[in-house]
Amino acid sequence: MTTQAATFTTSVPLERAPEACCLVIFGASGDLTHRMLLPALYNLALDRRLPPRFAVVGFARTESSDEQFREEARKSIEEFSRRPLDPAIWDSFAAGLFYVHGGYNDATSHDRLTETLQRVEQERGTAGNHLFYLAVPPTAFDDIIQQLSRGPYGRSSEGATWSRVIVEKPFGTDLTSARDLNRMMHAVFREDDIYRIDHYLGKETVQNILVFRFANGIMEPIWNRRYVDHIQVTVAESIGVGRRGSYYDETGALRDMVQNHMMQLISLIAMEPPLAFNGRSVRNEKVKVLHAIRLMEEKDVRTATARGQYGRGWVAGEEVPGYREEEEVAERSTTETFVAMRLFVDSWRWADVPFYLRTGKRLPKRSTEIAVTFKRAPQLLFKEFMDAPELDPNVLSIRIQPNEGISLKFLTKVPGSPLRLRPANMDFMYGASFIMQAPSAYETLLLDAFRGDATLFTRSDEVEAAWTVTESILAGWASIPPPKVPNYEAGTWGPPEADELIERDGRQWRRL
Amino acid sequence: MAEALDFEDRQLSWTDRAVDIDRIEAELTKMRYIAADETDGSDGFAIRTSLVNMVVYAEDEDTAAQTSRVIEELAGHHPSRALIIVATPTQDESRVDASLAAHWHLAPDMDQRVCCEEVTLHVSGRVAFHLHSLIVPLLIPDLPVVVWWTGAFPDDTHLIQEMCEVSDHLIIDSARFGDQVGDLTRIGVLAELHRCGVGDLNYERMRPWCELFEQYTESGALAPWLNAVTSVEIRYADEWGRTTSGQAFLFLAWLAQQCGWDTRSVSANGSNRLTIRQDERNIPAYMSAVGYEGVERGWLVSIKVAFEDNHGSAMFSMSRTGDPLHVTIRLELPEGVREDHVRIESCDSPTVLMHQLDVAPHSGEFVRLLAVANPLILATRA
Repeated sequence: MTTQAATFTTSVPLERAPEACCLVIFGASGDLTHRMLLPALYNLALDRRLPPRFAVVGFARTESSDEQFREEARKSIEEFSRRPLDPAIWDSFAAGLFYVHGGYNDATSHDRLTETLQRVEQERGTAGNHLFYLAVPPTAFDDIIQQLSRGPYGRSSEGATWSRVIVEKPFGTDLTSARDLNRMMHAVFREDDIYRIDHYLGKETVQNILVFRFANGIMEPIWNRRYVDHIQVTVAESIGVGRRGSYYDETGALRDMVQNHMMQLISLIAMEPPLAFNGRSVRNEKVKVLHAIRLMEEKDVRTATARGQYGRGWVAGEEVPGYREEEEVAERSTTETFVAMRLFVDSWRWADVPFYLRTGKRLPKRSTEIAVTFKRAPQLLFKEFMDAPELDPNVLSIRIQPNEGISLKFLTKVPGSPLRLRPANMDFMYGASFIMQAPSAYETLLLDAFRGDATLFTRSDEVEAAWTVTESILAGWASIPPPKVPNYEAGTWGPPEADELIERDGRQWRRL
Repeated sequence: MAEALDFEDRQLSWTDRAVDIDRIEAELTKMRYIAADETDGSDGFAIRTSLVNMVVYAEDEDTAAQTSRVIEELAGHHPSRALIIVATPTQDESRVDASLAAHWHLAPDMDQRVCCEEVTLHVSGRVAFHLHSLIVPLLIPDLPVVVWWTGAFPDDTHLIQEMCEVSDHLIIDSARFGDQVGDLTRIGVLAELHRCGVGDLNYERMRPWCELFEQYTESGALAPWLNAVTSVEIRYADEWGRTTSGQAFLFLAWLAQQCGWDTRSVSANGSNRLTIRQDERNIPAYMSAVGYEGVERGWLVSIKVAFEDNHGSAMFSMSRTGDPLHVTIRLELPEGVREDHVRIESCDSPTVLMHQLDVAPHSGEFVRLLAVANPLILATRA
């Protein structure tokens, strides 16, 4: 028994417990807080992964009290938590919930917040460490940051206590606004204390990209232009814009999805091995990929991008309205709800390998995946047994959601005679292999922020590099006539131009 | 809710009414997890890696049950995720009822149980006109989609078009079509429109006749005569004078393909008599119904092909004997007469479907045959 215990303690590294702190959520009465943040915090509490001395102070314009906030939080957790509410854990968790109401630009309200934080620090022993979560629209960032600059936070983190800030996307609406936002944040916080959250990076399968690539010796030798024919990244949503009509109509699919989530996925799939698995090394390599993406000129934008907007149609057995019929969307809106494009990463590893991206709303199904298509084997050996003109290529697909997992498609012989070839998938399902529920992305990212690990957060230079690429496309779109929209029916895979884009290269979109 | 694994009934199942696709997907995932959870146990239970998405359109419950049994029989060779759709668009209420099942079998000579997933959707009301919106989310990504249309060719083609939209390969049974011959031309149009391959179970049943003919022509005694066909006579089982036979037209089209005839130069005298003009020769082709017990209406009973060239004449015939599975082949050549007796393969649904699934998705073989058959069919309809 003694030997076993010793072996156990030496072979399994202990998880570093986060330091005591107080989480301040701006926008505490909003959807994000109730659907994502509070359930994530509660699940961390269930797993005993919250800081040992911890409190949450909600701040919002809605008038409310500590008690009401706790009651609302309980309802949210009952509705949205991945695990049921445990009364014992809830009681101790709820005791650490507090609420301050006030305007984001109102100094008096912020003074009350400061007083509350001081009181909470005394009561809960949060040690003067603060994590500010800006779960508010970007228009409120400036006010909040200005007010925080008046308090004992921000750069004071260079001392014994720390203050960090989590910012939700969008990180600007273009390169200029992103730079302005970065400047504004840097005036109060150090870059190391700014956590730009992209919840995609918190997903287990996204993190697994790095493990899959760099912990398996067989992958690295073939992960390059010699063996890879092309890469497809798909982020397909079956839902429409829902209640985000007014935000989305100003934003569009390119800014909403490509600039952030998809650029992050590309950077993870295309990056060089980092020196270490830490925030600095990983992000250094990611940003190199973003800088290597070839900027588009107008002629490239014409041939290598396609955009569309959905009209009425049927998705998953439901009749759905067209985009222009959605709430808070302009009747004559030309905002794109679908984008497809071909990018090149001009690095030694990826020269001339096309990266095809597509994302859209009201597509036939929800599916996010990265598919690496390898070059075909020479066909000569099996030509006489094939009905098709070419052998199917091997495809490695990494499913981000749903049914998280990895598949490798390869050709196999159909049993019996005569010789017939048929593709088969070697399939790894995350959930079926590890019979446990993975933590939500927000659980992972909140815990990392408590610990001060920024590996899975986006750095300012990454944001600006991604905007540089995006702006080259936006500039091209501004100089060519927009397509007549709506140009794809809800429940289809986008406009015909998207198919033409990839078919011109002799390839096809994967059927998901 | 998915029930606990029940090895007695050899299936894990779940059923619910008025469900949405998200729920079905969630239950499918749950079913896979339950199965995976059992894999470590001594029972060795595992969901098979599927090689194909099989989407079946069934007109009614009985057909759905029959196709389910056929698919289960095929699972050993062609593991698939099967979606069986029973659609009744005429009902007022737009609704989807679903049942899921994971059937498993003890693989022969193996300890491990293997299992395939089956989703049955009962679709009623308006949503039945938008089947692709239900089917696509339930397909396994990046695997071929084979659609098996089990019924007659519909007057309103909306449903079959919906199915073709998601299909790489459409399997039909032209024997079940109201107009066995005329509807083949409509299938050809559909295939071209949706760029999918087509296979016909009725053609598969007739394939042994083609293979027998090939044995004698490819390298056998008939090889030198292939360019000297002077007439073709095809008989099929039916009451005399009734209907036409899909198998007869398909055989004639196949023969035309083998002989390299241009079927666009054709004239017809009635629905069963054709004359194909080839190389300055007229080749008459007669199709006629004969009474024959033991096979279904429209199935081939006998084929006679006559040849003549500068060296003389020859005749090749194949005809069913009293036992429908036995065929007598008679070859009359200038050098003598030869008779062979062969047993042809069973034509049950699993067997012919298996042959179809062996054909690579997107195979153009049958579509090419339809292109040859089309002028023949149209000539008889003019």
